[in-house]
Amino acid sequence: MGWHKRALRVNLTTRECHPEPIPEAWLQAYLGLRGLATKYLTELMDPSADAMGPDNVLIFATGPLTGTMASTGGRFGVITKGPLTNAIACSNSGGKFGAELKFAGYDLIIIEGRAATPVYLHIHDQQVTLRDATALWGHTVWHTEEQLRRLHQEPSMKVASIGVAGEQGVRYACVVNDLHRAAGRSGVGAVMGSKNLKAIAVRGTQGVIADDMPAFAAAAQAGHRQLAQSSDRVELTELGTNAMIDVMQQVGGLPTRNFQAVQFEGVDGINPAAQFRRGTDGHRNHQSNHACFGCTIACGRMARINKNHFSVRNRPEYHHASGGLEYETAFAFGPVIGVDDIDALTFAGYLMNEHGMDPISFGVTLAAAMELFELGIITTEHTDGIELNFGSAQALVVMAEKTGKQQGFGKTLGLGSLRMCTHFGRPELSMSVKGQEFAGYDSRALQGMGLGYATSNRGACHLKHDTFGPDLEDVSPRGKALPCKVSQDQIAALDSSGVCLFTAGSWGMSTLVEQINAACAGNWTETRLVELGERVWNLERQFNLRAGLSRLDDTLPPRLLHEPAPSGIAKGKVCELEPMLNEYYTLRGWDDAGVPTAATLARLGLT
Amino acid sequence: MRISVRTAGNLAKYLPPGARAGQAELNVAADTTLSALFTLLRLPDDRSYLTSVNDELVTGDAQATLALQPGDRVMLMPPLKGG
Repeated sequence: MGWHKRALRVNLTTRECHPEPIPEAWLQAYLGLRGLATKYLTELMDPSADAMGPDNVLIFATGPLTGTMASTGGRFGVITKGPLTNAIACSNSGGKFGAELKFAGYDLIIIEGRAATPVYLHIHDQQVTLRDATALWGHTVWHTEEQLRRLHQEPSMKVASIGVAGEQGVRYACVVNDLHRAAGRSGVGAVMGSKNLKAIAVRGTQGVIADDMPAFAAAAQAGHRQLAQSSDRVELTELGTNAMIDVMQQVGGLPTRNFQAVQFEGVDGINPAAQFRRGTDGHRNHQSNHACFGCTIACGRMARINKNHFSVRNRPEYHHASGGLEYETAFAFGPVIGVDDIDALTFAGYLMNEHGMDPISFGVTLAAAMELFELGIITTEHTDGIELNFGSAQALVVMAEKTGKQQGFGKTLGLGSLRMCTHFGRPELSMSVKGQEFAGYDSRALQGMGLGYATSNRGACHLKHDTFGPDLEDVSPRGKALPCKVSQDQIAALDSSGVCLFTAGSWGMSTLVEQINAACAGNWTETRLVELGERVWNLERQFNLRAGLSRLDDTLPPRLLHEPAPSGIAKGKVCELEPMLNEYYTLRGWDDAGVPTAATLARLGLT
Repeated sequence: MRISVRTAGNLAKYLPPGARAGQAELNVAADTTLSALFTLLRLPDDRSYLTSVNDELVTGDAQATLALQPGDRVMLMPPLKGG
C-alpha cells in the first residue's frame, strides 16, 4: 500500500494524542507528504491565522515511498503557515527521521494548539506521549538529540528538534533532524517553538508494505540501476551540490555582496577543489560523504575545520567532523557576503545545524545588514561593536553565533532581511520574495529562475521548479514560462512521494511513476501524477490568496528588475519578469490577478 | 594553435596530465570546434555540456560549428541542476 493510511493527531493545548484514518479519496487525490499535508492544512486552519499563534497547524508528513527500498526514500516534510512569509511553508528534509516515523505506523503527525509549558512528543509505535521538556528548553539541537537518546536508553531513536533560534522565534528557524539534516526553509522551526514543542522523538519497528511487492522490488531495483549509471548522480556523489559554484561563477549567476555583483573573486577558496585541498594548509576540509536513509547518491558532505582557525581555536567541541558545505551554504556564507575563508564558512554551517537556522536566509540577511553598514545606515552602535563589512569572516562567525543564541544584534538578524531592512527604512535592500531570501542563483542570468522565485508559493525558492536547462541555453525571458509551470507541477508530485528531488534528473517522471504504481493502489500514470502536482500547486495558491497574498507578491526586488548585471553572460541585462508572469498566469489558467479561474479549479477537483 | 581550457564540476579529470586546478593550456589544430574538443578530451558522449568561449555561452548546434581561435578561453561545465 505504501501508505499506513493513518494520521497521528496531537493537540498540545488539551494534551490529547490519537490516531485516525486518512480518507482514501485524499490519498488518491494528494498522494502524501507535500500534497496530503497541504490538503489537511487547508481543511484544518484559517489561512489568515497568526503563523506564530496557537491556531496555526504544524504537520510532519511522509510520502508513500518514505521508508521503502526506493532509492532516496527517506524524505519527510514540515508543512505549516510560515512566519517568514505569512504564506504556506513546505520544507523538506532527508536523514533518517522520516523513515522512522513511517516505521512507527504513521503517514502524518498533525499538531494543533499550544502547550502551556515546553514539551516533547515521544512516539514508540502505538505508544504516544507528550512529555515535559523544561530541562531541554534553552539547549541546542545537538544537546537535545543526545539527551533524548540517553534519557530513553534508545540509541536507534530518531529526533527532530529545534534550538534556541526556534524557541525564540527566529523567523527562519529550522527543524533539524539527525544532527545535520533540516527542514530548513520558511521558519517552520519558529512555528514549532511558538507551540512550546521542543522535539519529536520517534522509534518505529513496523515495516512498510507495498501494494504489489514483487512489482515494487523490480521497479525500485530499476531505479537504483538508473541512478548508478547516471552522470548526474556521479557528479553529486563525487563533488556534492557545491559543484554548482564553479558553474554559476563562470555563467555570472553567483550572487555576490548582496546581489551587487554576480561573480566572486574568491570562489577558488570555497569551491569543491578547496574542499578537497584547503588553501591555508593543504589539508582536506571534506572528510567523507554522507547519505540519507536509502540513498544511493550520498551528496551530503562531512567536513572538519582547521583546529587553529580563529573560529574554533580553544573550542574542542567543534574539532570533530560534522555537516560540511553544500552549494547553498557555500553561497550564503561566501559570495553573498564576500567571504572566502572555507573554515569560517564551515563553522557557520556547524552553527546553523547546532542552533537550528536556515543558512540561506541567515546569510542573505547578513548580506543586507552588511550593505546597510557600508551605506552608513547602521553602525557599530547597532552591531555590538562588530564591523559588518563585506568580506569579514569574523563578522560571519560572530553574527551566526549571536543569531543562534539570540543575543545582541543577532535578534535583529533573526527577523529576516525584509523585516530588518524595513525597520531601517530600506526594504528594497532585502533580496527576497514574499519575505523569503533568494538561494544562490541570480535571476538576471537565469531568467526562468526569476519567474520561479516570483511564483513559488513559499517565497523565493530554487527547489520548486527546474528551468536550469532552458536558462543556460538562452539568456532571455522567451520560452521560460512553460518549463517553469510544467516543472513546478512535476516537482509538486515528486515532493508528495517521499523521494529526493535529486533523483529527478536521472529518473524523469516515468521511473517514479512505476515505483508509486507498484507501492500504492490506484493505477498511477504519469499524466495522473502531473495533474496531482498541478492540483497541489493550485491548492497552495488558494491557501496564500486566503492568507491575503496577491499578484503584488509575485515580484522581485528592484535591484534585479532595474539594475543590470555588471558582468557574466547577462552583462547589461535585468530580469524581465512581467512578460514571463503574464504568460505564466495564462498557462496556469489564472486570471490577471493571479487567481485560479472557476474552470481551472473545477478541472482539478478543487471546487 | 594554443587555447586555454577551464573546467567546472568533475570534468577536470578529463584534462591532460599536468593540468592544475581544473585548468590547462592545450595545443589543438586550427579551426577545432567545441564538439571536436569534447572528442579530443574523451568526454563521455552520453550527455551534453555547457560551454563558453571568452565568457560568451555557446550552446546547441553552435558547439559543432564555431571554430576556436588562437588564445581562446574555453570553459567546460557539466549540466548541473539544483543544490
